[in-house]
Amino acid sequence: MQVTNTEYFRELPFDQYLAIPGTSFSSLKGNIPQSAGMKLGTLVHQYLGEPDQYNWEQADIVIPIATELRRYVGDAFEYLENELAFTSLFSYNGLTMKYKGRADLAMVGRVVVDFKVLSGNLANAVARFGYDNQMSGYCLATGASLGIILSYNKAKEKAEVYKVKPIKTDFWQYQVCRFGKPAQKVML
Amino acid sequence: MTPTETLPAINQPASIEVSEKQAAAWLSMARAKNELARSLTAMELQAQGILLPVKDSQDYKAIDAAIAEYKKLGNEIQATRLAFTSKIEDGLIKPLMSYEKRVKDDPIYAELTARSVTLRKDEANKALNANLKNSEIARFKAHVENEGFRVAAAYRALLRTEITTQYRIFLKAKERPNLDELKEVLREAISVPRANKFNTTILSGEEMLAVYETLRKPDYSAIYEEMMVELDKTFANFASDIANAEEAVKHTEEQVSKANAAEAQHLAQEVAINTLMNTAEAVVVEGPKLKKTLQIERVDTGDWVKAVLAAFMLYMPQLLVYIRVKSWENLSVGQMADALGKLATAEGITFNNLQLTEVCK
Repeated sequence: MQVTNTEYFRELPFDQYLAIPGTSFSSLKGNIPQSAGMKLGTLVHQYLGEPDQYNWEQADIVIPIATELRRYVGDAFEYLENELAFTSLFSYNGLTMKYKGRADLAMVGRVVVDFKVLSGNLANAVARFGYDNQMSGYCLATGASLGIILSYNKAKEKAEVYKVKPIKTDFWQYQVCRFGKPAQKVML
Repeated sequence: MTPTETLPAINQPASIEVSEKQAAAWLSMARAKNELARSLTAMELQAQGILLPVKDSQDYKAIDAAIAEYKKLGNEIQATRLAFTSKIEDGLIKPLMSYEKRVKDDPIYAELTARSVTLRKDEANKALNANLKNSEIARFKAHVENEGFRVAAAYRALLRTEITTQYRIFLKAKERPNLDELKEVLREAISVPRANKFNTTILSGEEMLAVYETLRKPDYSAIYEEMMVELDKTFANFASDIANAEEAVKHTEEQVSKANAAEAQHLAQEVAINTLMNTAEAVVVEGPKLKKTLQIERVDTGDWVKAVLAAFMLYMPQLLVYIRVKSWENLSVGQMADALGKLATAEGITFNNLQLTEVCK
């Protein structure tokens, strides 16, 4: 699979990111009503990545979770780009699909970090929800050799890590076959 | 098998025959039970009859006599009932309970349970040790690579600074140096700084060397050549800079300072990112599930009881969540000890004069 024409969007508000045309991992999952757990995840993401947007809701829960996630990332937090959005063209077997993604933390060409807040074990969630495929999309688009899914396990009150390496293309090749168009028909 | 025949249903139990003798025994027991119920009813009525005459009496002697007779009859009722139910207990309930008791007390079951715990503990310890080792490998890798970045940056900074110093000296002397000779002097005089040692607690020297061989290391010769290009650039305008040596040196020093600052910033970034990546890439071995709880060791002495009571009183507010009794007056010292064990498991608390033992399942 080829990855070309990657464009980066920095400091792009989330609603503007949503308006960018392209197939994202989330769009493949469809519209899921936001649960209380998902709401908490959104608040933690906001506190870490867009603190000026955070309204201090559930701060007594959000801040300890964010602290634990930030502790794992360590000094690297300062050097990784927050909420980096990007689009790429994924091409396979003569078809091309416009892909889009938004990584919580990224250094182009090196590493992507994605945060999750889960009720239980990360490995189980990866197997169930395919988070490794989400991460592989981010890594393919940004050229990162390592994806780090960093989750907070609410049951055990600790951070868990799942590394994505090497970066596999199978899942996205399949999506290109499903949603791709012959190359000349793709709008850049 | 013809289409009209069918296989027997799997869930239908095989029919159990009841012998005539067994049927007769159950019938006899039913009769005995009915007879007993009649007798007990009569005895209960008799007991009520004892109390009725003294129901409104103010004569304590008469009351006491009636109560004594009432209690005696109550005991006879119980004894009459026990004579029947003890036969059921011994003849029916105990034999039927023996099956589950034998299953529970099977020595092979006990041995296998213990063996499973031992094996899982061994595997968990192996996983723990493997993870400690893998964690040290990750830290060693990060250390080697980070030290490589640091030493490379320091080597560049040393060369850069010395080039500037030499430039200042030659400008002041108004004497252009032989650059090839200068480069050789710098090669001899400026050594690559030493890397800091990694303090290993688990990895052996051979293991560290094997890991070391796989890692990228800086090419110090290439760095030297890169800085010699910088030297050439610095001395390129020597003829012009002689006219205003002081300003030229000041400008060069400012450039060096900026370059060193940028190098330091880049180094900090590389170290941070490299550390994160190496930590995340550490291989993690999953051990088997092992539930560990702490229990208060039982000691059959008065001192032990006092210690349990003292600890219970001290931690009572936290222990309430672990207490389940129908009535508080039935709370036993053993139950208190159980609750203390649960608290120790949950919060890591220890108690004076009480030993905790770890139980694995």
